[in-house]
Amino acid sequence: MAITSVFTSLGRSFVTSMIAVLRDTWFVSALCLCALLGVPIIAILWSFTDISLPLWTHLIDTNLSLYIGNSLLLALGVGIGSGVLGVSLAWCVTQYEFWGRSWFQWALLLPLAMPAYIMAYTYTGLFDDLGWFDSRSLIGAIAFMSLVLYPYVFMLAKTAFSGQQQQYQEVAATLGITRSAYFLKIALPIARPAVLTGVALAMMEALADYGTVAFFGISTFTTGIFRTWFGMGEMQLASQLAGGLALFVLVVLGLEKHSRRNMRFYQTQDLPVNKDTSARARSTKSLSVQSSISHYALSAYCLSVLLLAFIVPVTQLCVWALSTLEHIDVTEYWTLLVNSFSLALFSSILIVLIALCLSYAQRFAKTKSVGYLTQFAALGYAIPGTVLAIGILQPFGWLDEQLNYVWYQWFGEYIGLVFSGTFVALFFAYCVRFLSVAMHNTQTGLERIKPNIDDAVLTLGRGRLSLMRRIHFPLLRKSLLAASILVFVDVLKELPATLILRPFNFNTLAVKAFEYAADERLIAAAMPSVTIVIIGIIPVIMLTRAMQQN
Amino acid sequence: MLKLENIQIALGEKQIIHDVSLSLASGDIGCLLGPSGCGKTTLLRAIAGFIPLVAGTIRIKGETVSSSQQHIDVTQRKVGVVFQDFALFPHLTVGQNIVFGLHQQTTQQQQARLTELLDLTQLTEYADQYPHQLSGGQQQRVAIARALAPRPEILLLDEPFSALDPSLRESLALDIKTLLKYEGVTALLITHDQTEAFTIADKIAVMNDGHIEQYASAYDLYHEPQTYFVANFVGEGRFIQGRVVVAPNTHGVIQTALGEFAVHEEPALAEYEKQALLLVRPDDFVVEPTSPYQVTVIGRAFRGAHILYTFRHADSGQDVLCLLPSHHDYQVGTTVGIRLELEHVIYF
Repeated sequence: MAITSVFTSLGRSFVTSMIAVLRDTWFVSALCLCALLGVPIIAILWSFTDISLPLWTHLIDTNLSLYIGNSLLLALGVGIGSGVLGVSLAWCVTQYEFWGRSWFQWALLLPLAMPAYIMAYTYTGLFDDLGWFDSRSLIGAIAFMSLVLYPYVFMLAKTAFSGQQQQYQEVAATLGITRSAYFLKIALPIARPAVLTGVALAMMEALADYGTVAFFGISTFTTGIFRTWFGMGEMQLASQLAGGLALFVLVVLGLEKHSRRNMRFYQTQDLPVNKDTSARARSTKSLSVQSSISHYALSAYCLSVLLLAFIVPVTQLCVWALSTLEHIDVTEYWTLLVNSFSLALFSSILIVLIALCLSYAQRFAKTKSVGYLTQFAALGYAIPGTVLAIGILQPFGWLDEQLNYVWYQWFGEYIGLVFSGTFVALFFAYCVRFLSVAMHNTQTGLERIKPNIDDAVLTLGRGRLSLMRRIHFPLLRKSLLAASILVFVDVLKELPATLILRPFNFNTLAVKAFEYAADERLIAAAMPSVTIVIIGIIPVIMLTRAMQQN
Repeated sequence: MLKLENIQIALGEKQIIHDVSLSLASGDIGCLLGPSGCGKTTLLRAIAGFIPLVAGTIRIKGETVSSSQQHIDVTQRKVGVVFQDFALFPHLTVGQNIVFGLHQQTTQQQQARLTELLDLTQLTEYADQYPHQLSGGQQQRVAIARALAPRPEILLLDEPFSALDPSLRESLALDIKTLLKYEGVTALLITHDQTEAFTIADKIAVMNDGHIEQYASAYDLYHEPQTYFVANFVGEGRFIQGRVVVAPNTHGVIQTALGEFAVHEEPALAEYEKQALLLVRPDDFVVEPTSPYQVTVIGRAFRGAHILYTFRHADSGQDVLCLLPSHHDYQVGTTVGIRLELEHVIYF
């Protein structure tokens, strides 16, 4: 009797521990993936274990204040510029009726397709041609970046403004509050978390920018890191500088998260409301109709921003591209296209698969901590490409060194670089940087499939495989496609990490455009630039569609 | 048909179900009724095969499907489940949803079963529509048809009416009952709503805190509750203070401020001379102006044919609920003479 009960309890504990392990497979794989993705951050932190005082003293005496000052000014300037542009445009298109309003609602998102560095070459070339002034300055960089980054603020502020209940405005009106007072006292404070998120995104992009500041010769953190690594050959110091930049970005990110946490009660109106009520609210939403003069002023304002931020530079690029068309090197262009596309395609498939794995881990693992792991992995989007590249080169270089040492001991020859300076490093960088873009889509896609659906399939006697094939895959197809396209375009536009990590002599559209521009061959840069912008329009269209469906 | 014996279930460290036993005859509709958090969903999921048992056995048609040693996988159990949110596959049509579990049958067999079920659930014209194009009631019928299609040994329904408009629930519940009886399926539903349970179930198990308080018909639960919890949870009613004493020619009487009532069964010795609570239902009263028991109206709720009064007995300060036909129209503050007429003397 006693023996059997011992056996039963042994058997039971074995079964329960087996179940625990099986459940933990998700946790374990998520842990491994996230640890791998955390390598660059750890490498950057590791570099602080060996601080060289003379080098730092020299740096503090010379350039450090420039790096910090310029980066801060750039981030602040872009934050203010994109904030003012984004909020004012969003307020116009949500509150007033004027010529072209519904068209501007989506057209004002188009500058998202322009990478800042392409914007900078185009205007510099244009101004050089016109001979008006030289835009190669910090002010120029702030202006161009604000023009391409305001759509982040615009998009979020627009959603926030149009989500605000009509009742607020009616209450305000009955209390005798004017529209401008309403904007300052009610609409803007309510929209503040959304606006701050947009501004923080823009500031992070500004801090991470390499192409524009390098082209303008402005000393910032990113150009400083390049100079320290490649010019001075001080890898440790470059890593430490990269750590400093990462810290700046994290501070911006932390401030944004903090402000949002305090503001959460404002977000209640974002909850799904009764369809009838929201439809009624929309139909009764009264847009104020302006007198003809201010009517045209609003149109003119929106149009001028759109002209400056998109139409003029794109037209200029097209003109240049067309002028180079006859003596363009077709094979070179074709190689660039194939290189960029295959790189982007392969990375997007890889990244979406990883994102899908992590999202499934979050769904099936019983351990709560998988959620924190995936959040940590998604932090990669905040790491500037330059920092990321440094954080990858160091450990991968070390790994190659060890590998070659061991290989030589065994086989008497070197196998060369396996990780650094190959596609492995490049794909790895893209994974860290763009995983969150893909995960956002796979996660929301999976969340839309309620757990009861899984249970229903099982009770109907169909196995787990058919659950994936017949139910999950068809339901996830759209999210997977959206995730792949977004990652594809992001990889295509990425500059600094690609520039540093690409295999020798491997060029992409973005790299070539930058190299031509750096050689002041602005017209030659037009063809690859136009290609990037045109492909960059795809996600903007997707975004517009998604917003319209909401 | 379905037999649960001394079941214990734990989620993590926490014991959710303590020693539950229950059996359901073939073709019967059973119901687990209880407040939220009483463990009824856990029990249902264990029967479906989503959760393993710590102790006890679950038998379906004499075959053990769950015990502490054995756990037949969900996919092998032949148990149909209708989920609270219906869990219809949004990308499949009504017809495709219904035949989803018939993958081992030929196309002709699938088609025949589909036609039969569509007819039975009055969904024939919706076969090619998608779930989101249907009303809530129609979606529910699709969910039931899908669960019934593979002819499960037992059908489990998880709060099947909670996603539907309250005003429709009762009539829908009757439709579902007819449907289930027509198919002759043994079914177990869980709900927290007693009206639903009363409408649809042959036998109801009232659950509380991981165990079954009483397993009986709706009539017995209302009129002869065996525990204080059941008396309090099922139907409306109040308790008044009393004391059980010995009386000639009876098993004893319970003395209260509203009169003395003979108890039905001989109480245990320990119960004599102790404080007890007597269950008083709102329909246990008659109005009698000359009655020695005078009460004051302190609240009234008009319910159409009836008015539900709250009376206060001035001498003892105790409140009771009383349901009277509408023509007994008393304003708050008036004094009324009443008499308690108890068919079932229930005290705890």
